[in-house]
Order: sequence, then C-alpha cells, then structure tokens
Amino acid sequence: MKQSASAAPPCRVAVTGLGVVAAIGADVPAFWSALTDGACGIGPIANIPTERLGSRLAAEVNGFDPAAHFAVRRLPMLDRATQLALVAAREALRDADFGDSDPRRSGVIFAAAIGQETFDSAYLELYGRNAARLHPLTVPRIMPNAPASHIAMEFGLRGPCFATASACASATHAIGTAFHMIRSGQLDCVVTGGADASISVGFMKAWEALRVLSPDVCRPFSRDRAGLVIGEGAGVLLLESWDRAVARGAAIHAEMLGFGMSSDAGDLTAPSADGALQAMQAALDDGGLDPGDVDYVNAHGTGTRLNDRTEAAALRRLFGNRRVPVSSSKSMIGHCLCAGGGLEAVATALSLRDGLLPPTIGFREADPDCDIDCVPNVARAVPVSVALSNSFAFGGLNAVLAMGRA
Amino acid sequence: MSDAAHAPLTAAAVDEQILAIVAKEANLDRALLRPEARIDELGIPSLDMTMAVFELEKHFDIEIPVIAEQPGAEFATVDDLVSHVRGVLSKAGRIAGPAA
Repeated sequence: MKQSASAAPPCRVAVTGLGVVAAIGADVPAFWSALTDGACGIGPIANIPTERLGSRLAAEVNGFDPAAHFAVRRLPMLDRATQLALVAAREALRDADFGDSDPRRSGVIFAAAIGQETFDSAYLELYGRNAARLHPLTVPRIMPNAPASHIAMEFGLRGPCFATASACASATHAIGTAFHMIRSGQLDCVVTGGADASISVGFMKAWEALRVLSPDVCRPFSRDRAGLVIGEGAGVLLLESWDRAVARGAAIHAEMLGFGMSSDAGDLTAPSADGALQAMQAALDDGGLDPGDVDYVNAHGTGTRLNDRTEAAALRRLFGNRRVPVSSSKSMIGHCLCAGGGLEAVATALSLRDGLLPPTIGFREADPDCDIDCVPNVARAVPVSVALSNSFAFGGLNAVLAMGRA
Repeated sequence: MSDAAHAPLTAAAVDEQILAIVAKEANLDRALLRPEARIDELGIPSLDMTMAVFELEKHFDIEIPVIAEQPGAEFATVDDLVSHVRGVLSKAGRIAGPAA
C-alpha cells in the first residue's frame, strides 16, 4: 500500500453496521448466505399485474409484510422504498449496537429514490380511474429524500441529511460522500446506502422501451448474456469514525479507504471505459492505493452487452495482465437501481470480513470481449485486503468505493 | 392509425419507409444505409437505434419484439434491422404478396 503524506486521511472511517432487504434474503445473514451460495433471486413477477409487460421477470422482495414492521398510523406515510430503507437501517443500527451519539454530528446521506409504487398507483387512480382527488400524503411519499428523512426521524439524527441523485450510482455516491464527511471530521457517524422499489407497471414499461431487459435471468460477463433484470431492495451501512468505533468497542466489518467519481460527459446511456477507469483510479488515489493493492472488485456488471464489455475493458486497463477476481451480485439480486450500490457495498464489506467472494451466477460461456475472471457460478474463499465496488449510471455518472479489511 | 394505414404495403415500400425513419433518427444520409453497412461503423449510438425502433413501432403501429438472443446490440447491420421489422410486418399480414 502506497503511503503518501498528502493523501494521509485525517480520520479513518469504519463500517460498523450493515442492513439489507433483498430478493435473496430479508436480513444480512440470510442475504450473505444466499449470495455466497449463488442463490438466484430472479423469478416471475408476483407483486404487480403483468398482462401488459413484455418482460415479466424481476428480483422482487417477496413475503415483505409492511404491517409487521410499521404501526398502522405510520404506514400511509411510507412508500415501499422507504419501508425497505427503514427495515434495513434498523438492522444496521442494531448490528452496530449503536447506542448514543451526538445528534448534531450524526447524519443520513442516502440514495434519492422516487417513490415509484406511490407515483404509479396515484396516477393510475387519477388518469386511469378518473379519481377526483389523490391521497394527501402522495407528495411526501414520492419525494426522493423520503427514505433519508424517515431514517433521520426514526433515529433522531439531526446533522446533515440529504439524498444523492445519480440513478444507478446514487447509493455509491451517498456512501462515498458520507465517508468523506466523516474523514474530514465534519461528522462522527452517518447512516448511508440506498433503497429502491421501482417494480411498478409504468416503470417496467419504461424500461421495456429501452430494449435492455433480459427475457431470461441475468448473466453478467457471459457471452450469451441478454440484458439486465430489475430488482428491488435496500442496502444500508453505518459509517463512523474509526476512533469512535474503537473507543466504544464496536465490531468493525471493514474500513472505508477511498472514493472516486467521474462523469463521462458523453453519451446519455452508453457507458464509457474511460469514465469507468477514471473513477476507479480516483478511488484508489483517494485512498493512497495502487491497482496492485486490489484483490477483488464487486462489479457494476448489469448483464447488458454494452456495460459488461465496457467495464471489462476498463478493468483490463486498470489491472493490465493481472487477473483480479470480479463478480456481479446483480446476477442474484437483480439491478436494484438506486439501491444497487448500497447492497453491493454491503456485499463488498462482507467479502473483506470473511475472505469470501460471491460468484457471478448464470455464467455459461466465456466472452472474448469480457476477458476477466468473473468468479463464475461458485463462490471462492480468498483473503481480501482491498476491494472496489463499482457503480455506473445512465447520464454517464460513475462512482467507485475502495474498501479495506478491518 | 387509420385502417388505411394498415393496408398491405409492397416489400419495397416497407424497406423504403424503414430506412427513411432510421436515417432520420440517426441523422444520417439515407444513401449510407446499405444493407451490409454495420451499425457500429456507421457510428449510430445505441440510444438512436432504440429511438429508431420506437419510431418504427409508432409508424407501422406494431410491436417490434426484442431479439431474444442478443438484446442490447440487437442489430449488427442495417439489413438485420430491416429484415427483423419486415418479418414482423409480414407475420401481421401487412406486406402484399410473398414476403421478400
């Protein structure tokens, strides 16, 4: 690891709490066990009408009973995305055995996610069923900062609270910003990550029009990959200053080391290898790291022809001939959009903690355009010191986290 | 779309309409859209291709299914697209005479 005086962080940052709701598991132990078993969370859509959908597959969170988690009077305030966010945040704070913090130095920085379930059902009532009025909580349920606000309210966190909007990189931008605010000494702790529940008829039709949805499962980096599959869920991390975590005897899952961002400033939807490479390099530079330090990459890996080919090219340029294991959790949890970076950062922290790499499942055939070691189909036990988690969004927005073993 | 718009077209007219729409969406000279021309070599971005397919669906009032084997880069050449759309129209009985 490169030691550079100028890059020496003033304050180390620990990951002390993890929380998850995903198609393959309703909490972190179930999620991690399924992820390392190579369990596929993709299946026929069960929670919305599918007659009008061309693609009827998704990675849904099934069996989620809102009434089991929220009081009757509170439920009308909560879109499904916010519900998933709160359940995952509760797990993360329980996991961290959080206790008391200075509320003014405790923040929430979370992925901006439109309340799609509310959005879709409200406008169905208005335009489709000619409703005379909409529910008075429609606006606060839809607002993209709702998950962040509800987390702050539930836990009494009175420091900075806001939502980051960068589509499929939103959660990674949130986590990276949270990391930087703690590292610079502005905050002691931040609840961060993302939640997304966008499997609505309207939004699925919108995705269908982009012609990138897989008619099958999601097969990242496989020659016969046929597109992405939409997922839903939440991934939440509690970050806190290393000294605070140590002082209170917290169990530390991983260390945040670096965060890099870039903008392709090119095509609206097609990814750029230059942009991806620049963000990965920036994350390494931010943490005073070299490409040679990296043992594992949790890829963006959507399963589209274009993303995987471009990401593989960027990885080859970063690592040269060194074959660093790279896997895509989206093969199991689907593309959870604004939540993707949160779920994948949780997976990356657990990879570092346990020395276990989740596989890329659904892999059938090597693609010369994706000449990387994608940990096909079976998890691998390997000690990991430094790992990257990649998120690349429509709009050409790239965000990469560098994390280290605690 | 009126019923008249659904009257069978000749194969040549169909090809001409498809190419006119692609040329407009890709902002390219129609003459460049030779059947064997590769989409990537013509420099047509993937989003422009998606937009062209959307416009074709509207124009012909049909649904153009994603080619299951290779979504994301569905059409390698101009002819791949034209043949696919022609096939959909032909199946719907919208092309006069035997399919080209």
